Amino acid sequence: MQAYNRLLDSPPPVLSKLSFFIQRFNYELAVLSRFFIAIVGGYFFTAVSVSLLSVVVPVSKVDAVLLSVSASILIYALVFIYSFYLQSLKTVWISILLSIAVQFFTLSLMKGWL
Amino acid sequence: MKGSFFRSMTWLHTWVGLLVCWLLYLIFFAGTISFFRDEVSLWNQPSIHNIEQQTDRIGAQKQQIITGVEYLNAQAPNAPNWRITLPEERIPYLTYGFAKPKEPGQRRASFNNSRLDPNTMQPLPPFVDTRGGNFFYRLHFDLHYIDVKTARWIVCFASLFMLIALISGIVIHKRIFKDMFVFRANKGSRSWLDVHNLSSVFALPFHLMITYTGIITLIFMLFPHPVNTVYEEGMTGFFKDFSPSNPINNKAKGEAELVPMKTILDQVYTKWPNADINRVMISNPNKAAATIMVLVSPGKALRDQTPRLIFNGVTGELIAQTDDELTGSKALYESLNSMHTGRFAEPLLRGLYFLGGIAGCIMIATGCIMWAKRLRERMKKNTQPSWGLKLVEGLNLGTLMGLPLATSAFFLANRLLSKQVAERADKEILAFFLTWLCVFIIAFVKRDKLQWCVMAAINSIACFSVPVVNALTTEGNIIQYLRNDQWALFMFDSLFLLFGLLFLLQTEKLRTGLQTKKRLHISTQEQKI
Repeated sequence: MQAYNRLLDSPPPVLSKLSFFIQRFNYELAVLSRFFIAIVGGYFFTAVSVSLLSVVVPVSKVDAVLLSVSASILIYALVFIYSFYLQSLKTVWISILLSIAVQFFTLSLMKGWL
Repeated sequence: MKGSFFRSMTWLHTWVGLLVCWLLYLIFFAGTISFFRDEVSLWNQPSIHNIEQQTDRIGAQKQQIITGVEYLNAQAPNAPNWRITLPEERIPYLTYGFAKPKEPGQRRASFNNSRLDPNTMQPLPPFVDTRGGNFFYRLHFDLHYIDVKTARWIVCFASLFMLIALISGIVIHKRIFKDMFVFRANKGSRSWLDVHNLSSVFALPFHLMITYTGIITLIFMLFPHPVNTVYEEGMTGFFKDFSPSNPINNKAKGEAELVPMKTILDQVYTKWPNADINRVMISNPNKAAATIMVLVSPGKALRDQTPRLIFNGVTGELIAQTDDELTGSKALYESLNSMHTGRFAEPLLRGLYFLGGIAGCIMIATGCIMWAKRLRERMKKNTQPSWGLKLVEGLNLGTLMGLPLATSAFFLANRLLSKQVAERADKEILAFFLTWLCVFIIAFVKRDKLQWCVMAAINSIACFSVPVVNALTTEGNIIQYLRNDQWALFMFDSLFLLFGLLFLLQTEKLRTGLQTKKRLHISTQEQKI
């Protein structure tokens, strides 16, 4: 019985190495993950939201495009700051991914891509 | 991330800033010089130094265009393109050019240009092969030696990080107004922080504006998604709507006589009585498909797209033109772009742009020096610096001191290289990068106060030698420029003298610092004995 327990307690060597790595570089990984969601997540968030904006605004096509690209960097910067503003990294990831999904869904409905 | 918003923003400011500060220094440095792109090109080209200011520049344009078309018709009646580039306030000469047939693999045809003195209409002495101000302009967003597209993506993200650093910098700066008037000299990293704050806060609107609008100039590369969403045909469709020169697709075959320029120009002057024409471009001259495009200076308007009229080259009828009145979003986009390039700026405003750019360079430079200084101050005695600190210090010395030296080397090479050297323009650029590389090598071998002192001294000598070498190798010199009202050249030389002086002061300051340190060292040793 004891031997069985021991078997459960100690994970296979690869996994244990991985968990050691995660513990050892916990802080660094958190930082990397935050930068990743800020840069890549922020990029996709901005891309989707400016595309949505350009479809929504009731002006001519050229104007809609120019207006939305002019606002794009403002949006990107805000998302970037936001992902460093919240303490919980999980909330940051979920909120950004979710809002990208919602916006993309809305955009697809409006453009009839689905 | 850690505790309060304030602390996480401090963290973000430090690390985002440090990550890209050297690249940003290069971008700001080259961008600041680019505000004087035409002046740099003028200085690099001695054969146009002595062109007299025209008495009535705009009044002479009509005749210059008509003469130009006659000239080109005689020189190259069958060329695919003609181009007449008129003198501008900051560009003193006139160019008549025709496109040479494209060589295989060439994207754009090269032009055979004849350059004339607009007063005498006589050809100018041959030009030296140099990139002039365009080198710094391209370096500003295309970098060099790497693929243009990759470079632009890198520059875009560096600028985004700059924007983040600015925003987080404002957030963490609690006493933004009070600190504007605080400077504590000789207090170690505290003084550096004061300079960092001063240069950031004083020019903060400029920094925010130039960073934001800088990314906007490359926005269609960074975010093509709205265009692709709205337009079925993507970019082509968008630019067809946005820019008036694209819908021209005259497929008429055969030969036809070009409409007299006078009828075209009459239409231009009826529309814009005070038109300051920059350029006339004629495609397919003497063909049935001929098109004439007249580009007019936007003057002080905040417009990025040069106002233009496009005519059928055979009938003389107006085919397309830029919008007379801009819609709201177009005006927004155009003003963002033109604010970045500052093409509308008159001398005073241009000077302010230049000062803003210098403030930006100082902000970045003090930021990265401060990072290293603080770590040094916190370090316990007799501990070895980490490789990270060494790397930062090396990059600091290499970039902050290397870039000004490389710039001086570029201008010295322009004067000292023989005019007959093959690929001369590339050799000037090579001088720029080789000098920079040398500084980097020194910086990675050793980067103590002594190396900073030596670099400052070399920079000072290099800066002083630019006007001197100019006086020795060309007919003009700084005193003559002052007497002949050649302000652009005078400012160029005097700026080099000014920076030479500043580097000299820095050398002195570092040298006395070194001496007191040595004296302290000796006295402590004496005490030990």
